[in-house]
Amino acid sequence: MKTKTASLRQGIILLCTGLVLITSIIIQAGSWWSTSQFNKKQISDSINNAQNVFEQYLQEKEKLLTTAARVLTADFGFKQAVTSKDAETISSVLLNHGQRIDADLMLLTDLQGQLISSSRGQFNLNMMQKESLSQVLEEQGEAHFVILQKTLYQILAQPVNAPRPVAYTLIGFEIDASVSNELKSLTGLDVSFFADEDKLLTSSMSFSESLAPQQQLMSATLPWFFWDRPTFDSRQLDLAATKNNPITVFLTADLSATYKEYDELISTITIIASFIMLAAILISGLFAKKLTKPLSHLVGVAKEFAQGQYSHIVADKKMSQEIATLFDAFSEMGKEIHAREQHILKQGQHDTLTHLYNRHTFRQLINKELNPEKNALLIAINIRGFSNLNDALGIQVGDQCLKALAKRLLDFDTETSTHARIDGDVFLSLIPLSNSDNVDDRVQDFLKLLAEPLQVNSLSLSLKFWVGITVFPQDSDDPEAIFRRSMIALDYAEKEKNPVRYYQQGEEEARLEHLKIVESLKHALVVDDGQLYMNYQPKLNLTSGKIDKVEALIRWQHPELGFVSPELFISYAEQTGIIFELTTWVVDTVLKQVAEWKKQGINIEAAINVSAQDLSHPEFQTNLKIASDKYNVSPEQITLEVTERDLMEDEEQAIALLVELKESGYSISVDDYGIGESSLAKLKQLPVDELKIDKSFIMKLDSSETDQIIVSSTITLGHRLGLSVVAEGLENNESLELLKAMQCDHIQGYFLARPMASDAFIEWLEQYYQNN
Amino acid sequence: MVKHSHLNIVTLLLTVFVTPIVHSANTIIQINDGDGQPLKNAVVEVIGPTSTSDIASSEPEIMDQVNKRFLPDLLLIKQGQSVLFPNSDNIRHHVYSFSPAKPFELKLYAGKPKSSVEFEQNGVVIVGCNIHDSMVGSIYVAKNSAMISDSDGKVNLDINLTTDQISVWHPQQQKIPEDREIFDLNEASSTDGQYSFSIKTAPPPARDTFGDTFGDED
Repeated sequence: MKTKTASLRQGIILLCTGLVLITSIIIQAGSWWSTSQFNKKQISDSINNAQNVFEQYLQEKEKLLTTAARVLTADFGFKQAVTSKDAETISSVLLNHGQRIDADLMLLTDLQGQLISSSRGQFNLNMMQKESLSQVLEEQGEAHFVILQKTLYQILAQPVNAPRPVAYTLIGFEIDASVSNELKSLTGLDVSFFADEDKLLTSSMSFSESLAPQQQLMSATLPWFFWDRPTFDSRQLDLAATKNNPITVFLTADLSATYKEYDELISTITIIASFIMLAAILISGLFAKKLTKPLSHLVGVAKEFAQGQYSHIVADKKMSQEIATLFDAFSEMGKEIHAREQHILKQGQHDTLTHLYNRHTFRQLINKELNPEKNALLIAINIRGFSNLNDALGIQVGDQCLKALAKRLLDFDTETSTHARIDGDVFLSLIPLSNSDNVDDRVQDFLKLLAEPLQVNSLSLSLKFWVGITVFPQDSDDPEAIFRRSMIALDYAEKEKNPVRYYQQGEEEARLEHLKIVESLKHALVVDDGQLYMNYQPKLNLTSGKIDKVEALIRWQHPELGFVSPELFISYAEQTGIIFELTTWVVDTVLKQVAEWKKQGINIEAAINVSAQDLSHPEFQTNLKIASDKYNVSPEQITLEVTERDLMEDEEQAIALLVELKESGYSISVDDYGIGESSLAKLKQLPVDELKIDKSFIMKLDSSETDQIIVSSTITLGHRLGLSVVAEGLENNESLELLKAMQCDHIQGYFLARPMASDAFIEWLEQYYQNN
Repeated sequence: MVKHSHLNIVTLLLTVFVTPIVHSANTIIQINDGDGQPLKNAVVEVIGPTSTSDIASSEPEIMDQVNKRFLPDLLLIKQGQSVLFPNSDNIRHHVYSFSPAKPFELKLYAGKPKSSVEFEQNGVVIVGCNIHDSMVGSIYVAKNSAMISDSDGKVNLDINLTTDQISVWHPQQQKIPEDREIFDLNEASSTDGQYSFSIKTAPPPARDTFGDTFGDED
């Protein structure tokens, strides 16, 4: 949980810091942007200004040049000298007058543009320069930038009027480093003049030789963090030059100073932002701590609540109003929960009707209170025939009765006894015994109290009880066990119709074993994995000398319990009512086997043991028929063996069923004949085909004359009643000879063969016929 | 200097190759400018010996100066004739010429100068005033018969021409001020004895005054 969800404190710090971070980033970015925009504009403005100044400068210079040229050419002496046609004179006047106006170059041409003289003596012009000059002459009055003798001049042509033009004077100012520097001091920018093809003429800057100067102006950079910034911002202007030799000027702003200011500003902003961020982290941390401290306190309180400790909590004065309210709410919640818990606990611990402890609480109580050093009685009581009382007087009276009984119990030994209503009309009382107490006396006291009539709605009821008693620690020193054994004692009291029943040693273990066997048997029936199997014991027809019948006997080999005695598990099955399921399984298995034998050419009748419960079960007959149809086994091949005792229980329904079964073709055999209380009159009424004389008469037949008399007369009786007679439990040949002599129809017993699995039986059968 | 030799060469060429033809007594020469408009004040001179040789008058011609202008600003005189430059303004003038035909200088003066100026050589003499640049005048010193075109640009030569060539000059011509253009009549087309020639002119120069130079902006 903690790893997945971020803590509130972290969240607050993150939020505050994040907001400050975003804000400062935006402010930073904004100031960066606006500063850089401002700088750009400033640079642009300064270049614009510089351009204006530069152009102004050129115009002024041109004006000055024009004026100077006009004054000069208007000079009469100059005109005289020019018209004197004396080369020396003309040259000297050009030099002289040029010096007057600080001109660096003075040229004189005729009206066709042919150079006559120059202030610089010998002056050779190439074709291009001649063309340039002729353009200057054509555009008189306008200053041009021309390169002559590798020097850049601002040149103006002015006619020499005498009074009509007789010649042209070209007056030029040299554009050199001093001019560039002057322009730099005027414009504040570096000024560089370039001829065509980027040839540097003059500049206020110095360039390295590695790269073309223009290239240097355009591409020079200064490194800045991860990228480069241009060193210069230049503007290129075309000067008024001649067509064939264009001159450009670069006005260059060195940006490094601007960058320095900019960088200082940015670093200042960054430092301020960092401080603010640090402050934000600290402040939000403190704030978050203040906020989360009471919360973690509340968490502790909530944990205590969860453990059932409802401590009172008080809001701190330092807390904010909301937190204080939350504390109060928590405190209130604790109180409420505590109250409700107490209420629910009481409800949970007590029986709502009688307000005695309920079963669960009582068990906890005896766990707590019983200790082996102290003797105690545990008395379980059950109102005898309480359901009848309920039916007769109504449930409300029944409830009143239970309440009255609870009250009566509470009257008994109030100080030390504890009472509980366990279930319905079952109560349980824990009565401590002091060393001097006699168990029987205490029990008698208790029973005496119960014997008093109960007053219920003006009725005086004398109730009778079943009482089961255990003594602690005599019957068990385990509180849980003593509880269970009390209930077992009560159960036996009811079953044995014994009003006051003490628990007997070993009863619980027996009951557990019983339960376990029954559960296992149910399980074995469900899984049908071979744990349960049939054995077959052959019956010899003494008349024919053939083996024409077998008795099917169920066997159980439990994987853990081992071989379980059939008497045991069949009796448990009868007690718990699963005998019908067992018989159904047996019928199915045996009929299937009979059908199989039939396929193998062995015609054998099978006898199946059936209990009284089977006969009273409404589906018994149907199941039998389903199995017969399923395996195509005719009823004539099946004998149903019913014990004499079961037959005598005179269930009319069962007898009616037997009649039906006999009519269907099944043979009915009376098992264990001779030891029960059969009356011959009854026997006569029953639809019986066969008597099976109990093995106790047969086993020692040869040595007991009494048995011989009984068996002989029983056979005679059977025959007289039209029944065939089977002798079971044959042990020796002598007895066999006797039975033969007595004309017994069939014999069965170890002397002939033990019960066997079907495969073993087939083998035995082959063996038997070979030998006989 | 250059123009002078040019004229000589032309003259020489005329002398060698041109066979004089006598034209009718009444020959009209029409002078137009470059745009075909009649050109006034063009001086047409017959090249070659004149049939009617005018004798230079002993009386000097007058080129007055009124309101900082030469009046007339074009004067046609005979070779050897003199010109007087009286000053009618109440300011002084400094009249000069650097033209090869007659360079001269009348230093600052007022009223009538001491003497007239004699023009011994034929040719064009441009005169100016040193202290008033806008003052320009022209004196055409003719060797032969010469006339100034009227406002219709016409010159009526009621003389017998013994030559085929004429020279034409105009104060505002585009050519060098002192140069004259030579035309061959034989090569020119004529209708009813009227010849037509055109001279390229420049617009009259602005009054180039001191104020112009230092006054207004461009």
